[in-house]
Amino acid sequence: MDQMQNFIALDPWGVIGLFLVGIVGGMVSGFIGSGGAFVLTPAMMSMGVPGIVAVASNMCHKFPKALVGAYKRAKFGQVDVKLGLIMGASAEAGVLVGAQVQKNIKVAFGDAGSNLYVSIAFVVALGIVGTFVLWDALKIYRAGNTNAEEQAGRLALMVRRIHIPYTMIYFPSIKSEVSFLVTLPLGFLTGMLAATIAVGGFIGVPSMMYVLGVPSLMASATELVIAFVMGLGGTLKFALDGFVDIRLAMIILAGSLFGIQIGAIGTTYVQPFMVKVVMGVIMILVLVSRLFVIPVYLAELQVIGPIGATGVWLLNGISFWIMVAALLIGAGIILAALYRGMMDARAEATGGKPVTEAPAAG
Amino acid sequence: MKSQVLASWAAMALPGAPGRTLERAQTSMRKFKPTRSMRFLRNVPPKTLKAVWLGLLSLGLYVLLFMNERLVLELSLKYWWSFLVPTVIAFVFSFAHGAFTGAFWDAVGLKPKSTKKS
Repeated sequence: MDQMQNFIALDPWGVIGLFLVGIVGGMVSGFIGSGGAFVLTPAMMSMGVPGIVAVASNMCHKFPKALVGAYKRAKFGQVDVKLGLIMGASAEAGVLVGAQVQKNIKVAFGDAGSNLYVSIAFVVALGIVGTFVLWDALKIYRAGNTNAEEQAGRLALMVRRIHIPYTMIYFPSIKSEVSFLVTLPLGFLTGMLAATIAVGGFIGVPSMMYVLGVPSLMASATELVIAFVMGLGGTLKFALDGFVDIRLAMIILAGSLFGIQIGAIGTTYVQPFMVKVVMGVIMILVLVSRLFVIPVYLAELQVIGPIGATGVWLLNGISFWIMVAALLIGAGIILAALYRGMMDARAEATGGKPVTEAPAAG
Repeated sequence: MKSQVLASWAAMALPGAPGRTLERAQTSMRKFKPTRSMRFLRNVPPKTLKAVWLGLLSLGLYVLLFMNERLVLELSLKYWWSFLVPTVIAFVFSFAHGAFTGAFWDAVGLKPKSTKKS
């Protein structure tokens, strides 16, 4: 049974590590609607799991996690189910195409090729979207209106003016009609990215925020519906080819179901702009982390000259520790925001002075 | 009342025992004091008990999975229906473990802000 070679032997430290990464990944996922997997995929790859198995196993842990997260946030009134299902359907097509591309790359170039492809996709997607999201968050912060209700941008207003007969659908999250033909490419790209790096939300959430004008808290919650739809489809696709390591998926799930509930509860206490801050900071840090390992895969594929055992060790080490920093910083921001929000809510309830200037706005 | 019923059961369980058996059993039942662990359990809030039970269920599922990891991995590759194995496992674990983690945070006291967001 050749495919059994795809499944690594698990040691206790690996299990504990994945569980802890799962908690923080889940926390980030519950907070910004996506993520977790962007740290989990590289973390698994650092353990020796082939890139495609890491992505497939992440997808398998993602759909039940997204289901729990979406249910939780729907109770807080943050989910646009209609938008989630419509974008989820086109995302599913993107997942199938993306998974096929992954498979072809693995067959043609082996594990090193697959790892390089996943890493480059990380750097490109995170570089573009992360910079934009962080820049937007900084702009809001500098303007000093972090508590202001989010307004649809120029692009979103333009998109809403496009009227294509028989394709217009009313979405409660934006209180407006948008042609579903506009959501098709957004969903498709979300699915493509999800099948490539297991984090479709890095396109899904910003595209909902900036192209459709969905408020960031609702965009991050609706992304969980999309994540469930495409995660289920992607899992079935990868499982058909025997790439899902259910042990890895369930270890991560064990941690991430603890974390996702903290993240989801955290969104009820914080200012919406915090979602953008957390998302941007984590994306940029993970991008830098992945940049360091690209030369290792390039050397394996003999695209560049050998970099030696010390070079590989050094680059892998730097990449790993930057990723750990990304995780801890993300979790730290979420927990601090949650703590401040809870203290403010308590002070408000007892008539005391709030810790921050104003309560969370939604 | 409870002690009388228990004592009569004890008497019935000892056929041919002297007539004082019932009396002795009643006395010992009256003297019976719950142990510290029994008193502790009685004082555990229902939310915590729920979290504990769901936690045990979730733990049991994980023990089952990892005790049979080789078999599960083989089953997820071998047959035409093998793709269902990881999918079904993921669903079952998410419901059981998701219920546990929800109950856990509830028992710990981590709750969302009460006002709903639009």
